[in-house]
Amino acid sequence: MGQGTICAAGWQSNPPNPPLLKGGKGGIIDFYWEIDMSDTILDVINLKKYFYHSAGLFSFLKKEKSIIPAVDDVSFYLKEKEILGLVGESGCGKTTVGKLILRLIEPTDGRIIFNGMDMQNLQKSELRKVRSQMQMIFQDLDAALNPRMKVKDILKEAITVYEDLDYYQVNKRIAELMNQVNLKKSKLGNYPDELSGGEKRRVGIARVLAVKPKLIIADEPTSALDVSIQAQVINLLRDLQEKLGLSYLFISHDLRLVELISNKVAVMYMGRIVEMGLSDRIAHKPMHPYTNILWSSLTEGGDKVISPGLSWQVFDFERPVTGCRFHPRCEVFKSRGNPKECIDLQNEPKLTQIGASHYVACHFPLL
Amino acid sequence: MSEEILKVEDLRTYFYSYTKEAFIRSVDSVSFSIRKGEVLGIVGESGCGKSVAAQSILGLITDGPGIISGNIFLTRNDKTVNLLDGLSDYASIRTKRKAILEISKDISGWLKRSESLMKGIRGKVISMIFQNPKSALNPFITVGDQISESIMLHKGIQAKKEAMAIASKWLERVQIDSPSMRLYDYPHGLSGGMCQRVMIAMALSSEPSLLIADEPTTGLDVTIQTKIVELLKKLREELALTILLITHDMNVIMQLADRIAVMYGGRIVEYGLKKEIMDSNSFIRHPYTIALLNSIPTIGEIKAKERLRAIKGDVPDTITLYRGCRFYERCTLKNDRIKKRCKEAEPEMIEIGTGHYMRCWLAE
Repeated sequence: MGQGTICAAGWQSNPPNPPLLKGGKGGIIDFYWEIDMSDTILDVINLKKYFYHSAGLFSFLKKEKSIIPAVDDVSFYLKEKEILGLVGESGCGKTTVGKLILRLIEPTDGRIIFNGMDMQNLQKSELRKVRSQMQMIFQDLDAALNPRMKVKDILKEAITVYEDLDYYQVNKRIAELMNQVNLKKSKLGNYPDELSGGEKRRVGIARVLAVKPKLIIADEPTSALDVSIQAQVINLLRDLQEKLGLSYLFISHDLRLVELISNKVAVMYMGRIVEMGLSDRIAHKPMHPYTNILWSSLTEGGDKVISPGLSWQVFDFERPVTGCRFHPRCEVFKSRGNPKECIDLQNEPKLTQIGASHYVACHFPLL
Repeated sequence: MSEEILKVEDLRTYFYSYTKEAFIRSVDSVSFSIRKGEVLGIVGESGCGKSVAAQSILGLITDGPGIISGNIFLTRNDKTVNLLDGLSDYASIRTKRKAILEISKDISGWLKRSESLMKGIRGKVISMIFQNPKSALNPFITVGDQISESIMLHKGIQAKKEAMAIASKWLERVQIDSPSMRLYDYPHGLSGGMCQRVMIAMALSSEPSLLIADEPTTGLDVTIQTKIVELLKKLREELALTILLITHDMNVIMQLADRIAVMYGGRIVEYGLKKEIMDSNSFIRHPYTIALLNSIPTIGEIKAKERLRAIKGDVPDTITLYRGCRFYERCTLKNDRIKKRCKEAEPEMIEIGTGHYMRCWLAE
């Protein structure tokens, strides 16, 4: 079950768009050669989102507008029944990518192709239908569930929003959903504040499943949970993926979980993907210095030598960096004696293929 | 080094719920002690009473119908005070055949007594790092003012300039860049990790004998979490700090703590030195501790993409009175030999090694 699509007839039978190639982006072209588009469910091409500072009353006096490039030229694709993990520190633009894909916010530039449809060209009524196939699990548990609705009403609303079902069908579907996410039926009469964190999260997942989506964007689904409950939720998400054949875009700041759950991993830094590849490769052989730092910050056991490269510094969008975005924190940059390439304004590293489906944006990748 | 700074005996913190008409036993008969220069880690899932225990020590639980009983002995300069002395006089419960008829609490009296006991202790002798640094700092006051306020209050320094200079030194100590400039920043201008470090600086600026760190790494990025742990480690060596560390993250506990108390459903289920609790060769280990440790994916497991070993079920509510072991439902190690006993009687704290206590029938 779960494969049944609710969208209008004919949408699925359309041939998917041919691969979109843009000139001038050497790395990107390489990147698209090998894609078999036949079962690509989501294709994100050169996506950009710039936020502008609200500069205040006298902003017209200022010549320069301060821009925050939250998402800056991000491209990736996601195949059916595949999990792509998006990892990075807070503020690097992970969540913005998720929201852009659902078109909850409008992108500045770039294209999002979902199931062969260009999300940018859709009318409002069409978008509504498409959204039934792509759903988002939101980060904040308490803000995502309406505190005045019982669990049963929350699920009922989600079930009946796209489908016209009678009372018995709705109840049957609710029971089915509760079963899928391992929730007891006795919780149906509870309000969200009477549930524990793990239960709230499972209600959130059940609500997402209610519309039978194909793609789920899971935005930090475990960030507010205890480790023991976190493991439960991760196992549940994996089971559901296998059972229902879902695709996930799994957004998290915890590289451990991302590696564990995903087939592919993309590491974001300051609005840009710096490394992308199969999760096995990223786990065993990280090539970008930043990925290496993320790995080394994971602790295991009591005695661990913390790498000296790990610094307090967090990136700052407002302070523009020339050249490679990562060079102020980069160990390789320091150890190589501040090479010119890294601080050259014109020569920002592009995502280039370095091994079998492994892409790195770095002048001096770790080998 | 064997001097005990804080000794908690049979601490019970109950809240009364009018809707459920029953007590919520957040902390139920908890005893532990902290020696000078030691780090005691309290670990457990959320809702098991870790934070409430810490708040009870600091006298932060005042309002509402509820009772705190037991003894909290604080030793300072060879003088021992009981922080709960006489507080129980202000609350009374009238029961009839185990049913609670009435709870009365003289809140103003309770507050007066509590404040008189805690005066000169809170912030000065015991200070606390709170869970959410962004909301624990006052958004309207600059960081420097907040730290210097604490210094002026607790260190008896009158001149603001002098206090600011000390504050700047503390900021430097917690590795904040250009501290003299950061003094004039508001909390919203700082990142989460920076706010947490400001909190640490503020807590340490009064040079307390005991620091309570309540989930110091929660809500921070992984890279910053590692740095905070590293910083606490370093500060501990430099200043010979005594820390009560509260967290649900076993990784943090393993790196910082000397002794560990594992809490479950309001009770301590295992208590002892870190090396004994973490010793994987030991033949008796508490099932809950094992389950907690197992739920963290190891790097080997991640690479092999194994299924996570989650603890089944949820944390028990602390309202229901259990006859048997509180972990019974979720326990995977109960065998036929002890199953009946597990269900019917709650195990006592049993000493299984020197200073290593466990609340499990397996230990018998």
